[in-house]
Amino acid sequence: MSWRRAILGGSLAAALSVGVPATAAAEFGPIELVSKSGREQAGAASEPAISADGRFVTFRATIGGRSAIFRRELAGGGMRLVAERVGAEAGGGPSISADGRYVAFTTAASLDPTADDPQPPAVAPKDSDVYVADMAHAPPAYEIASARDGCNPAASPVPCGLSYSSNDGSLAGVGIALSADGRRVAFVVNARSDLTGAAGGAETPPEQVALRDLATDSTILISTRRDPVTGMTEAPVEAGAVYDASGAALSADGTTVAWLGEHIDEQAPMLSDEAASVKALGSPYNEPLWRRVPSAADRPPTRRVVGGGDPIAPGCPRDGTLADPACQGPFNLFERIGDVAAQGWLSQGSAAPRLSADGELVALLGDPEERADVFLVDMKPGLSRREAMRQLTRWTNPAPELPLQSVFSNPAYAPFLAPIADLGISPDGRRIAYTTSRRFFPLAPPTLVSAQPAGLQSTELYQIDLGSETIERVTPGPEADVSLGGGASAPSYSADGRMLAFVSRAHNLVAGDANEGNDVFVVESTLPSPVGSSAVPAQPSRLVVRPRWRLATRAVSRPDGTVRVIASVPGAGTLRAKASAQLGPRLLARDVTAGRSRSRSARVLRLDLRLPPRLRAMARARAGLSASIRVSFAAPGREQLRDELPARFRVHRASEAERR
Amino acid sequence: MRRATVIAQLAIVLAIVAAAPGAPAAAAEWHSEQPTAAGIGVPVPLGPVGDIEFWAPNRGVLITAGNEGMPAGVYAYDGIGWHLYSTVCGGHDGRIVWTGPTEFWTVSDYATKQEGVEDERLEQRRTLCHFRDGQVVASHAEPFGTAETYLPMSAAACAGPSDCWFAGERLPGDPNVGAFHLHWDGASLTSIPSLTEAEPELSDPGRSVEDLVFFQGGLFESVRVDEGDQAPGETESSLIHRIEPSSAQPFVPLFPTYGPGASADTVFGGLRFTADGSELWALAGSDRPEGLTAFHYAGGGFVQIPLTQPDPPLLKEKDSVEGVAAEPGSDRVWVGLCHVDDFCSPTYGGRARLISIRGDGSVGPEVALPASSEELNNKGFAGPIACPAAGQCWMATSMGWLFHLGGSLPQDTDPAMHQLISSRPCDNSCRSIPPVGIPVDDSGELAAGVNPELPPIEKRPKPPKPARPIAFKVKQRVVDGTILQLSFTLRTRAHVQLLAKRGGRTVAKTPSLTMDRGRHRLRLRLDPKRWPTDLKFKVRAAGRRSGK
Repeated sequence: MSWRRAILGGSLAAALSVGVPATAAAEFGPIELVSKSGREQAGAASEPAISADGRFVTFRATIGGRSAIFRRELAGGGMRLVAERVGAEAGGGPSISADGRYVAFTTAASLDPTADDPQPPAVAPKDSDVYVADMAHAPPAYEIASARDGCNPAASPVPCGLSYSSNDGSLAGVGIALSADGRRVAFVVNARSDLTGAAGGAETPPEQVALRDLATDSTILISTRRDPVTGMTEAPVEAGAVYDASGAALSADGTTVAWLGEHIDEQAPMLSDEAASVKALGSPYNEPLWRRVPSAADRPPTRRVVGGGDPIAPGCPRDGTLADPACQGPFNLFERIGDVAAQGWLSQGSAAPRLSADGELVALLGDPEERADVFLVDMKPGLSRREAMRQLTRWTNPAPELPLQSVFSNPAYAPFLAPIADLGISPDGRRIAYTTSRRFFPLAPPTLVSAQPAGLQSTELYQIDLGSETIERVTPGPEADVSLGGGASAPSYSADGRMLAFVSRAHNLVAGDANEGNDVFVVESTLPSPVGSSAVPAQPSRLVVRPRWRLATRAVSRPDGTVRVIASVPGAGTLRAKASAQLGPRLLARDVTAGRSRSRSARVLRLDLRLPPRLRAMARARAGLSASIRVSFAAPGREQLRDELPARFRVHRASEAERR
Repeated sequence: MRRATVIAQLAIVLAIVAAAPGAPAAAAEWHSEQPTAAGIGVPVPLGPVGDIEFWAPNRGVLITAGNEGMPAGVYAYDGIGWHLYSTVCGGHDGRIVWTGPTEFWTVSDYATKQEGVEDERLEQRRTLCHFRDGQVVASHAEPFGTAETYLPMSAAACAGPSDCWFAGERLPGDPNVGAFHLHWDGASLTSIPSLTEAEPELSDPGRSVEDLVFFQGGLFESVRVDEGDQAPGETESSLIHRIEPSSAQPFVPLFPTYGPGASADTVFGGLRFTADGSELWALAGSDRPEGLTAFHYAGGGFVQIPLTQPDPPLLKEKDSVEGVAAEPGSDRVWVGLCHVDDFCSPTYGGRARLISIRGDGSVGPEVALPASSEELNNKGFAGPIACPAAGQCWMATSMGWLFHLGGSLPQDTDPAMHQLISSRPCDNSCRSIPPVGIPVDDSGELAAGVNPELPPIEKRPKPPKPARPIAFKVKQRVVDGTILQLSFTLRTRAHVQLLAKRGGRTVAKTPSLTMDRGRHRLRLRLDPKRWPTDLKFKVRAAGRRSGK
């Protein structure tokens, strides 16, 4: 269990900060409501996706009496209908190409009857398919993406659309399914289909990940089975490769697909005892999976993004087990508390991973520590999963003396441990937006530089800027304390992370928002300008992972009367903390307690400062003792780093010794 | 900060609502004509509109409860567009009645949160506002939960500035049976029957009032016949009363002439009145397949009009009448409908249904709003309707979306109707915060001879320093209705604590805080159910044992 908590927070932070000089936090412009026509606000707007060039936003909404997918041009305000519901069949999940020309979505409507497979008489209502709309035409031209390999819809005498044995059909993930050029679409086939066999057959099992290349009319099965001896095959995973229809993400360059997988041992290597443990579970087990798109010449392996075990980690022997430290992943994914829907990476709900434009960075929502947090994983080869993963948020337990389940169920503790609800990553991988009603983010860096919201339950949108190592609150904007009426969700970035689209039910983000429903908003932020000149040579011969020499600190008052100093240190050295307080009205401040801790590498250190008994009694009598904590970090041959923090020792009850 | 933000946002909303009257008018047909809000720059709903009334075709007001984006209050029409007229005196299902060119009354919600009221619906429609010449000249209300508390009102009618009637729910039966009525005589409001003294001689049947109308010198009220009503003297249910204020028994039951098969029992809901100066109509839903019950006032009585429906019929059994207005200069009455099966609730997802009924009883055609050609989402079911002139009608939907029959008119530029009213005089229901009692600082008196046992000091003692309070410039205000904010300046470092007491018991308090000299602020959240009657602000110099 101890290694479960041992997160190598610093290494990836350092890796990600290579070549990025120190920067200031971004400044956000006014939030703009975009889900509207010239005549009214949209009703029930949701699922926005912004184009990489920041010119277009596509979303679902009801406007002018039409429930449909729309595309809005941000500069001119022009709104175009992408695809409309047909009867009760809902379209959904739009993704948009970099220039906004193509929009991919899921619909049960047969938008191209010559290409869509005929409706089986026994299946009603119609199964869903994935389409791509070409907005260069008016009305848009539709091409089916959930189609059989090698079938050209324009030339084929028979429909190219996949044939399904149930109406689950195919599904494209919201905002993540389309490549930047709009020609590649990743989707999940949820029904038994003819994806890999003869037309009209049903030999392909359900819950498979596929990729359609519209330029070549090829459809590739991504979630193929792995043979322990020969490696990746072209056969589908018989028991299903995707967990809970959570969709699949495609990188903007179209080279990489990621999904929340199930039956992991059939797709990627697992440790022998790990695979046995998964099989012994009574509930489903999931983990995010990642794969470069295979070609005829190359069958790259499906890789685990994170895992309980890491059999391909450097140093892990071929027959390694979970007991071997070199084979351990960042978390033990088998120790869950209470009733959970699934074991593994995400025990509640489902969320597809998010990819940077080149697919190398994966942003994840996961709850390996029981409450959903944000993680970022570098998929560059050669890194162990523990080295590659960085945890960007972490919940804290405000009442460690209570059973965890009762802490989770107490809404008063939401500011400490509310789950992260949704996230998005900018294509350049620099920014990550997430939504939560949590208010405290003790991992610093990234450091929260915005004021905490005043409301306990408001779900706000935050942005992590990995360049400046900051967390900023995006909603509700500078004019209000909290989002009123509802929270944010579904963040989507333009290519450079400058434009951020999201959904919110809040009515105080924009004056006059009176539809009492969800709206799609866009906010523009400045790109932080580097402070000083870059120290990186123009053409570095080799990237060197070297952390920036700086100290980030934070102090948290704990219920047991101690103050915990959390410090992110840049390398090996000694961290010292000394608290001083003014004990009388006319007295000078004097040192009241001190502590120190050593680190062997860049990491997050925790140092608990405890008052001596006499001062504990004084603090209790005064309802707390305000102190100033001077923190220093010293390392041989390096500049000493210093910081100073305000803190308060809160002593709520006498210790056993004091009571005696 | 927050207050400043709200004011700033409201200012933006106001500016744009006033400047942007909505879509260009299309005269011949009903069309959307909705004010535009700033920020998002498109027309937005105004929230549930209780009533629309006009003094002239280019001078009208509506009352709304507002919504998340638009403030509750009163909006005015000037012939060009609608603008926010008053941010006070809004209300849920409010009513408006004009008494002069710049004078009208509203039935509104309480101005302040009432003590001990958890269900906010209990605070609705229990107060009156009197608007005149661009301001609220008076507000009338009694605190909730007293014997004199006004009951919710649903009807208002005036014969002039000094003769207005307001009526609503039936009385509890003790001390009087009847419906709640208020009469304004130009100087004061009187409850009829009295809320505190028995007046059995009035013989008001215990039924709730649905509507009131002055017509050709007579005052009429329609009542709902509901289970549990107390009308022991009635041999037959009377849906309409003529009110004769000077009579010993002022509520005179009228018995309309029903058509074949109809009776008071087949009327669904209370009757709604509409008059265009020469004609008076009364309409309600029906339990019969005809769908509506319509009466026409003629020859001193109400006579049912047989309705002729087209095929297929437009009216259905248990259609509910949500709004009604006679169009002057025609024999047409517009009726807003909602069927009970559609729940007539804010979640109603269909289009608003309007039908017209001619004087000869012919029904139709039906108008569904918004029209398909307008390319608008559905805006809720039909609500109040007003027709100030021939070819000029307005209808507000349940969401607060306005539809107009007719085109734009010459702009009414009366400054009294282009104010922004933001203050409402205090009435008997206003809740006040007791002043903070700042303790006397006796720190300067400690040197005085406190102990009489001590021997006299030969040396002439210095006169005691005048007591200077440690805390000064104490200001208090209530933020968001429930947070008491106290700002003060400390002359020296001190322990401070704010306590709110009610009946001697502490109902809220801040922790005892030690603060340095300078300006400070304390915030204390108050419970509306245990509103304090006394405040104590404890200030004690830090390091001293006394001096409270």
